[in-house]
Amino acid sequence: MALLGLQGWRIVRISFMAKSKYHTFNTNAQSKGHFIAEKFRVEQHFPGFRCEIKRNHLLCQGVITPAEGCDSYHIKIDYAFLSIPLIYITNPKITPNIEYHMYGDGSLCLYDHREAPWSAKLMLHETIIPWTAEWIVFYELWKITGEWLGSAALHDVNKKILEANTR
Amino acid sequence: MLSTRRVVLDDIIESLDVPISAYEAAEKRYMDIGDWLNDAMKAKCASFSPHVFTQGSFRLGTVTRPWKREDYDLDLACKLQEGITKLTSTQEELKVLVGADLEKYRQERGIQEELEEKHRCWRLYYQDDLQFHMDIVPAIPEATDQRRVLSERMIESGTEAVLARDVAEHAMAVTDDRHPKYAVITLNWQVGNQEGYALWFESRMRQAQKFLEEKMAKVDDLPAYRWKTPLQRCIQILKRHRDMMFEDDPDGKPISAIITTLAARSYNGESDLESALSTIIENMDSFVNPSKPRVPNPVNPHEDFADKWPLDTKLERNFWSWLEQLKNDFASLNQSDNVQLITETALGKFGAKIDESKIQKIGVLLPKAVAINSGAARTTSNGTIGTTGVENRPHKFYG
Repeated sequence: MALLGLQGWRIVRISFMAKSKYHTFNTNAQSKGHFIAEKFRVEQHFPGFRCEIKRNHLLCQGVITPAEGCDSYHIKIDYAFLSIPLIYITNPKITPNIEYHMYGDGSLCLYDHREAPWSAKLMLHETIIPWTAEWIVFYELWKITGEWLGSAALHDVNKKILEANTR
Repeated sequence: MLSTRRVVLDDIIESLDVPISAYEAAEKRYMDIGDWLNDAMKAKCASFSPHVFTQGSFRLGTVTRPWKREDYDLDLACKLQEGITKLTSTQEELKVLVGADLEKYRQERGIQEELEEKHRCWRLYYQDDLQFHMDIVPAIPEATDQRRVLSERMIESGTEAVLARDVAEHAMAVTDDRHPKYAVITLNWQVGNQEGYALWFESRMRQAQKFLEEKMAKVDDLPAYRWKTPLQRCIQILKRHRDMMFEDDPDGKPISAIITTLAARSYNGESDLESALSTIIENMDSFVNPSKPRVPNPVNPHEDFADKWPLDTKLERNFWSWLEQLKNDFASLNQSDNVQLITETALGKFGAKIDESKIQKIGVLLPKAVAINSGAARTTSNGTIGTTGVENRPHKFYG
């Protein structure tokens, strides 16, 4: 695992090194600085979350109980630098289904990446965590009603296309 | 929009709906009778091209699970399509002809219970996986000029001409042993047109365009009981409420024909059960005429489904008190802050046991969902949606 991580890191480094040695160093520093600030903000606003920075990844874990009588959701955010944050529910185990906006790998589809793509300027505590809290509310309601009651991009369009094709 | 009541109504439907297998069992029953009656080696009816088909709630797809009893009412017609007319036979002769065959059928199938004669039909009990009592109405096609009169009457009372003609095509002449000319030749038989009524009912269901478009591609290929439209659901709920309210006075209860007709007339194409039921309950009374016919049969406007009201004033009183009670109970289901009232009403008035914790959960989660969708949500420091904390930014779930 460690070796693999190192190799991955090396490739990233090489791709940047090709441009400028100085730039690579700077990016690394930026990532560290950015993630330290992010870690601070997440833990400040959501004391139930714990974050760590590991090999250019910011990992945040916390538990959200949407309401009394509902499940407690263990959340893991895996945010690699220059990439997009991936959000997983580690417990309870949920079978991925696009009906409740969960990709095949189990990560949540919290935003429309075409209309409003992820940007490094966006902060986890203002976006990903509140949106995950919303996701949990809608998922709990989905379990009762079988309907996704939140706003959804594409969803309806997809459904229509699917229906048209099965006719 | 989701409401606690909507979820409760879905649970009520689940508790009173009958499985598709019940419809299939019914189908098997009447197909068997139909096949038997068409067998010239066995049945006298066979030479008159008998056609056996469902009527009533099995035809309309509005059957409710029987309340506190086991057997289903299965209404059937046995139409002799050729060779018998009002000029050649009396009502009595037709009734006896069909009855004799059904008696033979009963013996061949080893049905223990006696064949029972009713005013307009024969009743046959049948039991295998499910218990049925089948009311079989002997009939012949209505004469052409009579059909034309029916069609004209329907058009006069506001039915579209195409539908009126289609519907009138199915009109039948039926027997009734209370008829003064039951045993003599007469052209003046009673009219029965349950198949036409079903077509009219389907036209009312088809108002749910949005529902039908989303639900299925080819409604036309499916029997009505597979449509499961909001109108059918509403009628199931209304009938269950009535059955429970008049549990101790079954003869005094508002009849299904009245409930179904008023509900179908009131229905306005709503695509979800709750708003459909809301519209129906609110408007049903406006379709009861102040004078005769009080509740006209939509496919035979001179026939009054409420013709017994003047004979027994209790019946009309019961109808109005039922509607009043229904309004109250429907409102009670909407008291989302009173979980106990909701579960008690669902159980006591609609016979459905509702999971209390589920209702409680919806009561807490729904306001959160509403806040999120209206842009008013915040996320508290423990990560729950509330009114304090980080403001939730607008976004769309993708996928």
